[in-house]
Amino acid sequence: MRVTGAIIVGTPLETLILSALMGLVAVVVALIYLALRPKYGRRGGQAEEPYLSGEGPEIVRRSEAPSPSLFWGFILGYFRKLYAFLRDYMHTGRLSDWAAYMAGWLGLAGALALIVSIYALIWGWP
Amino acid sequence: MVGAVTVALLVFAVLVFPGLLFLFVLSMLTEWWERKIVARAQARMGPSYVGPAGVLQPFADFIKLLSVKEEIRQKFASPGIAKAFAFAAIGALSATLLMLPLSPVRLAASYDIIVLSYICCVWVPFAVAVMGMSFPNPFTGAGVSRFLTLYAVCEPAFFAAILVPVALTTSVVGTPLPYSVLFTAQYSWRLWLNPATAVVMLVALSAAAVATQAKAMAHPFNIPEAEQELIAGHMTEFSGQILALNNLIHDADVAVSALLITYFFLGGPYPFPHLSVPGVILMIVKYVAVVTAVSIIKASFGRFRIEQGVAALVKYSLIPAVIALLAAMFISAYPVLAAGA
Repeated sequence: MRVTGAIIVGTPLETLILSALMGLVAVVVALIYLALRPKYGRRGGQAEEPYLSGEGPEIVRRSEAPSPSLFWGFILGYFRKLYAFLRDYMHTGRLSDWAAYMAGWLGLAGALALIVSIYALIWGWP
Repeated sequence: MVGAVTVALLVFAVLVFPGLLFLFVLSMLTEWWERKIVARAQARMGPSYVGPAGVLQPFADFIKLLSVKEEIRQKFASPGIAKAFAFAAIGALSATLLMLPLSPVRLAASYDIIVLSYICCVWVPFAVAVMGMSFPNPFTGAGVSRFLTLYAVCEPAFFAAILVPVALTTSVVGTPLPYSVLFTAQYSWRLWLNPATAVVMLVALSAAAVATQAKAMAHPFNIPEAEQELIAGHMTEFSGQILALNNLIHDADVAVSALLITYFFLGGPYPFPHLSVPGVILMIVKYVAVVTAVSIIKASFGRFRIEQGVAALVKYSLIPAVIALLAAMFISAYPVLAAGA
């Protein structure tokens, strides 16, 4: 296998080199930005207000959920559905359902252990 | 010991080719192609007047936003923080390309797939989220929360999907360095030669394609910006230069994701070398095919709600990617299954 044109380094050094190059590009882009940006005076009045779709500023004074809470709300909401699905199928309150569930999982684990044991005995551990 | 010539080459590579300048041009051309395809699907003309077939329209839009349009700063905004993170994100995307065979000077290390995920899959979403939060607004808050929700699923799915060719190339093809981005990009095309690895690659490719659609925030995953619902979501307060930088990061992220798919799953220019006419043509064809697929899906779907988007990502990207990864691990333990690759 050919190894051409590559600088082979350790992973920590590669992280450092790429981070340094990333910083270099960031500085160059910042300089280009500073050179190209137009000069405008500071605006006042409506331009200073947050854009609220024409609503008055009083709507932002109302209590609202912060971004992290919305994020966890979506994520937990999704996993709550998964939890409800598992709960409804596993915890029906009937002993036979519980026994079937436990037997099913233990049976699967037992079967897997048996297959792996036989495989390891005959062909050796991979 | 790294000499002065190597340092100069690295600086050239990160600033010119395939770094900043090349990435900028590629991002603009990718945006133009995407706009043309979507317009075609919607019976519109798309960009037509600036340059031949409107190819210079994204350049004109970017330069206008950067150097002419005024940046409106509302009184709660922190534009300095937003711009610092925007510069860092552009730097991260440019530095990523030095790990691919596209670069004249390539960096390689064992297990540097982790470095790729740090540079490319952590910095960019983090920067975009901080940029949005630097302009506080109810619409921005909702947009950023949706963005983080979507990325909490699509980034792990994308990473799991690209880990499949990395693991298989290391174990089946056999590379000088394990789990190396460079060697995966060079030799992953061989995985299509064996039926067992080809099936696993196909599943991982479809998972990566769905994750890329979400990373691009293209329909049906344009939930964070949600036009007409959240105004522009996390971009509501962006204007002028900060909007130009945001658009560039978005286009560059799509371009880098498409390049990673082109190399990791479609084999880049291989089996031809980079510096050959068939190699260049094959590379361009594969890249354009990936961007066209993203654009056609974008033009064909409406927008999901956030919980539908997360559910779709879990179902069509995360779970297939994890299954493909488990299958790849199994094949890695028994490389005899993939003889011939």
